[in-house]
Amino acid sequence: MFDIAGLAARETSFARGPSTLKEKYKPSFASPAKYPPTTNVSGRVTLSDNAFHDNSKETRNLGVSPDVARAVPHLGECGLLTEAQARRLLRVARGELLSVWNELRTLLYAGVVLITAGVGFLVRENLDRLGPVAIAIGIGVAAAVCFFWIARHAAPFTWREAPSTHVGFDYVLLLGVLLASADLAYVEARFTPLGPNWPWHLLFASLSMTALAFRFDSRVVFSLALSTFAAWRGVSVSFLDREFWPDSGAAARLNAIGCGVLFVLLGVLLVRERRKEHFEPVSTYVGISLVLLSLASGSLTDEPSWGAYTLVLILAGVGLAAYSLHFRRRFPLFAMGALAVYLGLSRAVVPSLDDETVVFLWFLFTSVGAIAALVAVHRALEKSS
Amino acid sequence: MRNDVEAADRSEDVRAASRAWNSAGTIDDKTLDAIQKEYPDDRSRVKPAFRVLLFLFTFVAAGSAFAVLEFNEVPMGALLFLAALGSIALTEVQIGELRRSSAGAEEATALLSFWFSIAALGWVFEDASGDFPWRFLCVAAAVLAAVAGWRWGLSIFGALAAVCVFLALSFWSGARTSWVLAALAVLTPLLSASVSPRLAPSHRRAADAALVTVLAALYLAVHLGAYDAGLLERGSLLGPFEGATDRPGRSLHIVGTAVVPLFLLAGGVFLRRPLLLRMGVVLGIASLVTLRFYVHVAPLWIVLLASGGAAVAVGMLLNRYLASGPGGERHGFTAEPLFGEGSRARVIEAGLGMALAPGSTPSGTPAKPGFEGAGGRFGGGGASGKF
Repeated sequence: MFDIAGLAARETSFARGPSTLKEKYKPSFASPAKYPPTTNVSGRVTLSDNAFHDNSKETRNLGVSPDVARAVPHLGECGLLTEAQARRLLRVARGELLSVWNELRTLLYAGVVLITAGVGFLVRENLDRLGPVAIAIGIGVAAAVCFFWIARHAAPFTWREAPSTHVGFDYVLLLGVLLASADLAYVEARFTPLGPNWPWHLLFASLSMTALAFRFDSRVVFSLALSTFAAWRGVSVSFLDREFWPDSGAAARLNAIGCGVLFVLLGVLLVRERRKEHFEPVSTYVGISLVLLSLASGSLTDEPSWGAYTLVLILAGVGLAAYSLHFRRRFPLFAMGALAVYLGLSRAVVPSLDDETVVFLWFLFTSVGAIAALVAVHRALEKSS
Repeated sequence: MRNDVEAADRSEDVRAASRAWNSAGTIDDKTLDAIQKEYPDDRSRVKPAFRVLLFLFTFVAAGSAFAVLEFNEVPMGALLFLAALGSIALTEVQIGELRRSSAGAEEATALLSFWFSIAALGWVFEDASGDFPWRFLCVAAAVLAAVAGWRWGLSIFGALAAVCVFLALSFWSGARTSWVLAALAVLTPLLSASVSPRLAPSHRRAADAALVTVLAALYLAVHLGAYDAGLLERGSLLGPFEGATDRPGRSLHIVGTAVVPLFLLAGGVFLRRPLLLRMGVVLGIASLVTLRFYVHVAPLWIVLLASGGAAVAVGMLLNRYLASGPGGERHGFTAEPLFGEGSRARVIEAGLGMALAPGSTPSGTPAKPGFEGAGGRFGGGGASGKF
């Protein structure tokens, strides 16, 4: 028997007194059972207009999710939740148990970024005083300390998703990787061991990061590895780096398309071989973004090749939208494909329109058509599922 | 808000919570199905990707229709009123008859109706010299946003209404004082509204959005940097400032800059409100940056290393403290993810690595640039072209 009254009596409140809490837990929660859903002539489920209205007159504080706090005892009484489940869910809904998981991770990420920035300024402001060797050794030692901590806290290797052993694990690993990469770049910049082939150290950094990401199961480091690889090919995919667009010539575009295709293939391989399958979305989304952005960039130029880029953009968009709907049900990919098709078609048609009114008529009718098509596709998806 | 919309809104709140319980492994698929049947949904909802597309295409369609009519020399005033009324009607039909919710298109028409209404009012009250009555328009916009938010339950209108209120107050000579007084006056009602069982979940979210805006406005009003820059003494936010920085009351702003984030953190812990905690953390960082701007306690690299190290240390210690409590919690706080945090984090994680990515190597120009070490610019892969 679900003892919600007993549950109420046993609970304690942190923010308010127990007597208040007991009052709040009184099993007076109205439930949809009082107002059963009906089916109208079109077969659609309809909620009674009165549903929840008894509850809405309730003014007692029910916590941060009052409707969920009302529903949990009802679900317990229906036998859908055990008493233990209901107790925990109720505490969360009422705000008596709060998770600071996201806040801790944000704090750790901010710490890593600040330390990395601090090391940058340390090197710049103390280069003459400390000397290049001391700086290189210092950064290397700091990175080694991070990796030592990681080695001590790491879970055994698995090709599947590894359970997290510590909330700070990913961030200490990230700090170690950033410091080690910075050290590598500093050594390359000061002592020039690779000479004119200096960009190759980016490939080495990328491959090392990939190995670390696989060993320690870190998506953050994996995405960093992909973007470092792209940087090696002359493509900046950093959200903070805007150098890609203004001078994105044909070489950079082709490099970006090549990187994108490679990342997508890597994702396919990860799934097929069942090795770190949970890395696949990172690889696929980064890859497809690179391909589509590069094609769009080529399509929007006045270079003679814009027509070819536009055609490929439309074909890629159609293929991506169809594939993502029929095979993977990945709606963000569908959205990217649909936008690529629309952009490509507009790029192909609009320059040939002379009158401004006709241009806006094009956008008006194609947008309405796109809305109708999206609604139809969504309905078809709902029916098929 | 219509009764059926409110009922569906409340039902969806429970459905969304049950989906989070399921993804966290607390309940199985069978239980999830049973809960979804117990709390049915009669709204037409779409996947987030479709929502974004429908929103975008609706905006493009409406904007294009407006442009086509304007090119055909339809009088601007009539056109704006027509557009406003048309958008309102479309929103009503979509939310009412078509039972759309979180479907993109009805959100776009709702926002367009707000925008066209303000533009129409501006056209009506534009004076002979071509100037707009900004103060009146801000007040009207606040009222319209509040009404739209109440009627259609879109949380963005909560933030818009609050922004318009503070913009209207900024035209007064005592803008700073009025911002503080207004913020303090609505703080408690908004805190109550955002958890009130009387209100529909979307109204509570609108109250949350307004609360964030109000807290930001309060902080801006007491912030030392905003005070020294005379941000609220210009007659309008964009006007010139000719006052002195050594005006009376400066010490109050020094205290305010330090105290407001602390109050928010304390309020978040005491009232158990995550929103206050997050605002406290964000504004606390802003206050620390302000401190560094005014007081040079040490070279920048020391400040960055020390604050970064402190952030990591605090995070680690707090995690250890909470995890070592009975059941992995202390005082009702836990460092473990509860429901939904993990799945959101997976999406964010991919972006975190990208945000630290190195700059590109210059294609076809292998000459090595000089070392710049511009404060972490080398941070990503460690090796940008600038390193």
